[in-house]
Amino acid sequence: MKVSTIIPNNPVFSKSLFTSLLLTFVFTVFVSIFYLGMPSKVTIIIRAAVVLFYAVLYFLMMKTGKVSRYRSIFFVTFAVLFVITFIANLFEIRGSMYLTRATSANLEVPFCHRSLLQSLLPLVFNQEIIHPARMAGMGASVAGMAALWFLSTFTVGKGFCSWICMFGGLDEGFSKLGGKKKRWNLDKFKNLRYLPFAVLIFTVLAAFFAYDAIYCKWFCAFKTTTEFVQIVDMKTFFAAVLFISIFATTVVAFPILTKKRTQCGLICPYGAFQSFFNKTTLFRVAIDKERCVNCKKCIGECPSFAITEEHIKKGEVGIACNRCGKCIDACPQNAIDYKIVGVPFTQRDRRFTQDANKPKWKLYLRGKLNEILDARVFLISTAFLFGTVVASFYIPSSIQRILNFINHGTFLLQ
Amino acid sequence: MRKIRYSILFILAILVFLSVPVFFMGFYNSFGKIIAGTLGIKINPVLSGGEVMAVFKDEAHDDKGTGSFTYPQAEAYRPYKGHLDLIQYIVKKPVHNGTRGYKDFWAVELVLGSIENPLNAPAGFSFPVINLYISVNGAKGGRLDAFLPGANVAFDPGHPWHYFIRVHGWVPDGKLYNHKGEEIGRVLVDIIKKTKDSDKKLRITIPIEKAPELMLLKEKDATYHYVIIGSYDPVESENFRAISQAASSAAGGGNPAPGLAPRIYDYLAPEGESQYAMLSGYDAANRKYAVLKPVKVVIGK
Repeated sequence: MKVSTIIPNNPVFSKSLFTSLLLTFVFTVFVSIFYLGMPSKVTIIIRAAVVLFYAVLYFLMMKTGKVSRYRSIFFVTFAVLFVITFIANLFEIRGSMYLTRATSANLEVPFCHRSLLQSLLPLVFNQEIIHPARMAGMGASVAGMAALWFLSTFTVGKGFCSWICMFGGLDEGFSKLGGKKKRWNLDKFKNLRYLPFAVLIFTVLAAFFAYDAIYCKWFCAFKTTTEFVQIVDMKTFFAAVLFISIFATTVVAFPILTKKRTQCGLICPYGAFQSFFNKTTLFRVAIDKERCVNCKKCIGECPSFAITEEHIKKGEVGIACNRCGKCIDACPQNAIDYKIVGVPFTQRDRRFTQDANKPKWKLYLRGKLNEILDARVFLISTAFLFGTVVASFYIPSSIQRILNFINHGTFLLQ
Repeated sequence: MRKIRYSILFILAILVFLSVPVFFMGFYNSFGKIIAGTLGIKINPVLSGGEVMAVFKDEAHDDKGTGSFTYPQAEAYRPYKGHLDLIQYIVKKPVHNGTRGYKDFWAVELVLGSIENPLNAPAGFSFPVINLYISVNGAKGGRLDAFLPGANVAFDPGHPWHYFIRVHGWVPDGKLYNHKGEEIGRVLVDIIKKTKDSDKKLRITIPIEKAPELMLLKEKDATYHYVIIGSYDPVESENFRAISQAASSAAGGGNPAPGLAPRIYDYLAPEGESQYAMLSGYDAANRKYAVLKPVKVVIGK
């Protein structure tokens, strides 16, 4: 029996054209169910164009083997377009971005996944949510966000932060501006990776003892892109200055200077919270120690401070890993990849196995099967589908609004 | 064994992928029911105005005062019904949370036939003027007249009122008075939309830290509420629009005794009493106003 396994020194984990097209077809069918099959005010042409956009990105992820490059295009687009629809919605419903007393009295303050954390202890002790939000319904309700948390926790874990979160694409987008050079190197401050956990503890405890959404009211950078209390006195003025300052520094300036996602990686309490659930899924990012040459490029590339030298030695990444794929794209040895827990990297290399005794068609089919039964196919498909479904509330609507703005000078559809 | 293990893991990976569309198509909405229902999770009452303590239903389409009143004939009042029609009076449990950044308050809600604002009143509703009088059982003092005289009513001598709340849509918030006639605070008035009972309702939030007798209420303590609704008028006596024998564009009609009969289109009569009879109970011979009876609200029930 002649069996040979020739693993290239620097294998590119791209798929063949046939496999890429096949996988893209299957993915597109699922996406189409949500974009084309659901009732929507957005024209079918826009929705179809968005599905095509996703299909192209997915195909490129499969064909080129580059994950983060194409994920990032989706993620940043999602964040920018989310802001357009969200703010336009506020103007349509309330006439302004201001959070009014009537909005609070009507329990219509949008609820986001970050708000969930502030109700953790009130939920445990009093079964109460300390946010004037809708309890149920699609979109920004308590149940909607709880559902998002539940599903992401058991499917993509902290992958939520780089595939699904509607805010994360903003600091990722800014981190791409101003060239690739880091003006500030934060990698040398190893203890920075504990900062999000401190923010998380502060957020949870402050909310409980004040019995109020302190993080939302004072520290959320993304209030600037969504809604905030009308400035009527010094207190509200100070809060607005604080929102804008935190946004300007952690979402705009620091990402440009450090090439890191400083808002998400350093001060997002939800990201820290999700870190505890990073091992509740089947998928991991792992380092093949045999192939790794310890160049440490992954440490510098990781936007969420999740890789250290200790992690490289252990062949794993930290719990803060967003599964964004940046280290995978950057690794010159292709030593980093997604894996399914319990399935070793050797299984990934089966596609390079040749068995001269087996008929060619059988080898061909087996090769294709091995290409498909790949952790990265499952992780990317799951996370990207999840992200596109969440984005279905915003991306098509925003495109329609942009077209409306070009034609009629307004982002408002009503 | 290894192959079986790997196969199981790959099948699980496929199921994880499929869970996303299945979840969004089938279970996303059920989550709300599970969270709100099964687990008993609710929005903090401080934010939702408090838990409902008592609900009083008032007959619909009885916005006719003594039984014969009609709306003014101005176009704005179309369809000449509903604007001043009390459907429900909801009393919520007092919320005491002063130590946690919120003031102590007590909210009541009024479901009306319709809440509309064709005249662009600042508070979002154009037509009703609402007087709410609260009598605290066992409290000293109190008074039996309407204090602001426009309504043309008097109150049950067994339940003199201690606090009076005046609300209309032409100022952003309402006023809270004590029985000495002193303005002791402002009440918040919010329009609550998309309720189960109707499209909208009015929520009046009373800052009870300004009202000692209300602040110190305990469970089983009783209060008595008089709820009366007139038609807002910017120039008439204390904002209660005049109701004449014949309606005009500026005055209601169908009043058998103008100047003596209550200028009230709807009133929350206690169980067993008739609104029409009570509002018609004025004494024309001795020029005495009709005497109203309150509804009883026991704290903690």
